Amino acid sequence: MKIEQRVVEAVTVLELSDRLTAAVAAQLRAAVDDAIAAGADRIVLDLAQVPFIDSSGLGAVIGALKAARTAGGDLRLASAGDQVRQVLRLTNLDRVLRVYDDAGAAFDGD
Amino acid sequence: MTVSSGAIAPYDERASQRAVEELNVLQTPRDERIDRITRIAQEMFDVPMVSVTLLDGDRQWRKSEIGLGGREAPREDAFCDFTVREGRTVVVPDATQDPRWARNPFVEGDPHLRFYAGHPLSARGGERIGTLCILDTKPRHLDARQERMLRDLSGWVQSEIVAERELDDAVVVQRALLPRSVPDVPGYELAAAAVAAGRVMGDFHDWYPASGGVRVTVADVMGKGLGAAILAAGIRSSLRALRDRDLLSSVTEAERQLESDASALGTFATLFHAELDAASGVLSFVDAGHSLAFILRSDDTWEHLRSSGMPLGMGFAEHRTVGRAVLDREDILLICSDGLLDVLDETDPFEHVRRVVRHHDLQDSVGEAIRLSQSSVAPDDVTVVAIRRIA
Repeated sequence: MKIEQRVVEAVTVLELSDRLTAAVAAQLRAAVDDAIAAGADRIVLDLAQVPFIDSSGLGAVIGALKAARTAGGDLRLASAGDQVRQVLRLTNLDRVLRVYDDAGAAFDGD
Repeated sequence: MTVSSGAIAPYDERASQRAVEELNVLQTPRDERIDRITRIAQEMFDVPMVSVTLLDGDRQWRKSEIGLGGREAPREDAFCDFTVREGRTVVVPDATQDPRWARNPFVEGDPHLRFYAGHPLSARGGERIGTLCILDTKPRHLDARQERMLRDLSGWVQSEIVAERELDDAVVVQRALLPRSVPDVPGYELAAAAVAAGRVMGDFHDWYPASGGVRVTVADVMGKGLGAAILAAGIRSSLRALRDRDLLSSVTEAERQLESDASALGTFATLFHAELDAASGVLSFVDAGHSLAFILRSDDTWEHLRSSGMPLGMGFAEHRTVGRAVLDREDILLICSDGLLDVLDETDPFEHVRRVVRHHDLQDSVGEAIRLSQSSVAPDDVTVVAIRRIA
């Protein structure tokens, strides 16, 4: 999976572009861990290019969320498609993983 | 002929025979995972013949072969028998020039072998059970690098064969952990079925009598395969051990037990755990991010049993609650894992399910779910539990 990283106004945006499954879960975790190690505390996963997430992908996102919170920061989602939103809704994980319309809005007002 | 050096245990024919039998691999169909390795060996060494040979009594039996024209051959005088007894890589560059092999029936007669290279395969206890070998009707030479490759490929074949056996064991154990009988709940009919995407699954379901009715569980551990199956077995045991507690505390306590393991592994499980009171039809349930329990009412309307609970093992100090619903006569409670969604009619999965249950009895309906999964290369494990109130 390609993960593009950019920093916009102290928010680190990781732009993912592939199906988020077991095959790429470790890669996502590593990218988030690296960002945290480099001092990022506000992280957005931009999911505009993620057509599908499975339980292992969800596990990686939750792991990343916990890592960000443990480091005193937070992780939010942006631009998720229908399937990703549906999975978050069914598992009730939308309670801890808010989805914002775009990466720019994810930390607006915080 | 060259034989590499090193201390080798003497060949124990009886132990090796026992080991090859215990692997349950003899007489099994061809296996793509092993055929793939023989194809690679053929390409790599550019030979016309490759075999994964197992020794069984007085015969050689080939789990996989290319160019040998059959899966069985006599063991007597076989190159592979020699390799297994030697317990090391055996290379015969030109059998017609080698006094040990020149008069060998496989050299003088069909298939007129000139070149042979084989490396022994071992079972878990080190018993030598067969070989991976490459053969040619022309003389050849293997350099040290190629010999190393042959050994690596043998190691690969060996781990596939042994891993397959371990997985077989796991499949048997997992099957034993699924309910074997249907609890007798007066006024209700129960049916369930499950199928793994691979060999073992991260789904599980369970049911057992509870005061005045039955407890039912469907859970789905993140991922698939053996790792998920081990965690699923743990959750099942916790809930079973907590069957005398009320519904909520049994889930809370099972979650507490799972939590440390799950968070270290970065995994989680969704769970629907319910208790049905037979006389009143009241269904109490705790839903941990599962959200795949529905009631099909007798008038063909659907009720989705929802809650706001997150999956188990998330570590967000979840405050859980018990939801309630009532099953009336001819209502059907359906609980599934998300794998079912992959095999249902995408445009209208609810109508698909309704059609099936209205045209089949309950057991055949869950059977239909399994049939769909098996005929469609299901990408995920599928579990379905159905309870119909009949009186």
